[in-house]
Order: sequence, then C-alpha cells, then structure tokens
Amino acid sequence: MKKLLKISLLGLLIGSSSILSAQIPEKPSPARLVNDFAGIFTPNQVQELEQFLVMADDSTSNQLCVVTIGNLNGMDISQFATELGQKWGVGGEKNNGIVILIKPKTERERGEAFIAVSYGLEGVIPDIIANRVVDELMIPQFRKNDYYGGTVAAVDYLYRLAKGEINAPKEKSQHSRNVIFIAIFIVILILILVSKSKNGNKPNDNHEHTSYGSSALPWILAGSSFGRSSGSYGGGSFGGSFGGFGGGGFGGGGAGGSW
Amino acid sequence: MKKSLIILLSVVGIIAILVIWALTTYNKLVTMDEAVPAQWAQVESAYKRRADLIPNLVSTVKGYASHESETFAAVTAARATATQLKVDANNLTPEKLQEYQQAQGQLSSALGRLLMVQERYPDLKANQNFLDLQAQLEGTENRINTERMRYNEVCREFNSIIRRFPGMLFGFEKRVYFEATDAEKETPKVEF
Repeated sequence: MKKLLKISLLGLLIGSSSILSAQIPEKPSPARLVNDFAGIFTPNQVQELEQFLVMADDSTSNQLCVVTIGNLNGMDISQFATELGQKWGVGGEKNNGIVILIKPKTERERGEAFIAVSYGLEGVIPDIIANRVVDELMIPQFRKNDYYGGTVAAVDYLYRLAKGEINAPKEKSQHSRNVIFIAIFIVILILILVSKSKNGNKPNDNHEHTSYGSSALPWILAGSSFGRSSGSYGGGSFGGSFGGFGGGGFGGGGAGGSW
Repeated sequence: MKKSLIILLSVVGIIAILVIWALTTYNKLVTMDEAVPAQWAQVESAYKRRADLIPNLVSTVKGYASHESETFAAVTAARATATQLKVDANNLTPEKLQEYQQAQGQLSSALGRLLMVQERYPDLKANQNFLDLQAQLEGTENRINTERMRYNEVCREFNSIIRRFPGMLFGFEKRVYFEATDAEKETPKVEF
C-alpha cells in the first residue's frame, strides 16, 4: 500500500503534463497562423506573413504556424513547441503541421527558436533539415535583429519542402462534393438494378449488360472531376481568412537552436 | 397501489441509470486498457529509434577519436543491455519498469560521455555528419520525452478512473508510470 502511494505520488509529479499544457497559450480565436505574442513583427509584417500562410494552407493543406513568445514558463522550447502544436492541432488529418516557435533574445536571456514537425511531415523534414533551417536561415538573421527576414526565409523553405510531400488543395465545399458522391452512388445503383433486371429477363444477352457498364464510366469520371473543380473554385478565395486548425499530432519531431 | 408503482418505477429507473453509468465506465476502461499498451509501444519505438542511431554515431566518433575505446565499449554494452530488455506492457510491474528505465538511463549517460568526447577533438566537433547525428539524437530525446509524458498521462487517467466509483467495481489493475531517475537527469544536452 505504501509502495502504491509512493508510485502514485511520483506519478503525479511526473505526469503533471496537464499542468504543463495549461501553461501553453490557448488556441487563438479566431484561428490565426501568425501569433506574435512577443510583438517582434510590425502589423504589416504579421498581415503579410498570415496571408502567405493562409495561401499555403489553402493550396497544399499544409499548416505552418508561426508563434513568438516572450516567456516559455520554464519549459524546454522543444516541449513547448510540441505541446503547442498538439494542443492547437496544427495541421490537418494528414498530420501535416509545422510550428515555428521563436523566443526573442532579451538582455538577460538567450534567444531560442524551434521548429516542431508533425508526424506526417517528419519524413520530408527530418530533424537534421529542421536543425539546418534554424541554424542557417533563421539564427543568422535573428542575430542581426531581423526576425521577420529569418522567419520568412524559414517559412518559405519549409513550405516548399512540405509541398513536395503533401500537396492537396483544400476542399472547402465539402458539402457539394458529398452530394455529388451520393448522386454518383445512386446512378451506379440504378444502373446495377437496371442491368440486373435486364439480365433476369434475358439471361443470355451478355452484350447489352456490358454496354451498360461501360456507359456508366464517363458519367462517373465527369461527376468526380466536376466535384473537384467546383471544390477548388470555392477554396481559392484570395486574401481570405484562415479556416482553422485541423487536429494534427506532434510527437517531438523537429529541431531548434539558440543564439 | 399507484404510490407503490411510482416507487417501483423510480427504483427501476435509478437502477437503470446506475447500470448504464457502470457500463459506459466499463467500456471506457476497456478502451483505455488498450490505449495503455499502444502508448507503451510508442515509448518503446522512441527508445528503439535512439538505439538505432548509436552505431552510426559511434562509427563517426571513431573516425576522429580512435583511442577512446573505453567510451565506445561502454556505449555498445549499454545499448545491448537496453535493446535486449523485453517489456510486456500488459503486466508491467514497478520493478520491471524500473529495470527498463535503469537500462535506458545507463545508455543515456554512456551516450553523454560519448558526446563529451567532442570537446577534445575540434575536427569532430566541426564535422557535418557528427552535427547531423547530434541533431537526430536530440530529436529522439525529444520524442522519448513526449511519448513518456503521454504514456504517463494515459496511465494517470486510467488509474484515477479505476479508483473512483463505479470504475473500482471492475477490478482493473493499476498501471505503473515513469519516474525521473538520477541517471536521466543527466541526459546528454546537445549544445549548439
């Protein structure tokens, strides 16, 4: 009994992750991809970066989220970035999110930066690459106090890498697509029923049966391509706002550095 | 007559609510009982990922610091011990978990000493391959921390449900968590 108590007490100490995750800022509302809590960007820069990231999300479904913060609450920057990505759900169903976390240098503390990579992108952005992006694209600029330049360079590079892996335009008109799928389904069902009943009437006439089957194909193709094009028209709203985070999972992938 | 019917119905109603409550809790526990081994597998795969990096790291360091053979032997031995240890998540005793942690902790400190070697060999310190391996190693440490933390989280939730009513009725066994050992506090910190 004593042992059990001891274990549970220790467990409480170590398993205090919910306390940790309470130290991570809440998901912004309305959802934003640029969250400059530390105030290192100008409003124009924030807007410009946000526009680029929304475009990246719309055109490839990869979500890059830039967060700056003045205080990590005593957490490791890697843990902070990973937990933030997990809590906010950066990335979509394909787990294709990236969190770029920057803690600017102050007079007393070193600057730190970390790129947390969601599961789905760990293959194309392994820790080595993330580390190089931080060391070679971000930190040299950050040293010159050019936070925006370093961030843009990193975002641009990561965007292109991620695009090479996952490049699926956002389907904003999911509803119309579903309707089309249902319509196709019903058409196929009717065709099957018709061909079956024909078969029943004339069991030997195989020729007519196959001709029905093949005539269904162009219909299906036309239907699906129509669905796709209408989806991309709906999604391609220029300068539109960010649709929201999609629940990407983070397992500690990525790398960082300090200066 | 009518009064007793009302009483009977309300008693039946209360019992039904209790039964439904117990059943949903039971179902939740069964789901979580499966989630714990799944999360343990995540922990193990993060540790395995680290073990897989070691041969490469050792051979890179060897190229620059061939006479640190003692350090290499220590790392290789610790890696062998750690990878041979098989743990079944479904009957994880505190002793077994401690043994597992100890083996991994020893590997951590052996790795720490291996990384310290670079201080004496400037060429190694500047080697791109070595820098990349360090970045990978740091990444696996992050993954280990993340997965361990999530494992603890799942276990803690499971344990608190089985201690409360009605979870306590089903006789599920408590799950053991990770605890930070002294050896782990000196995990290799890679400085850039």
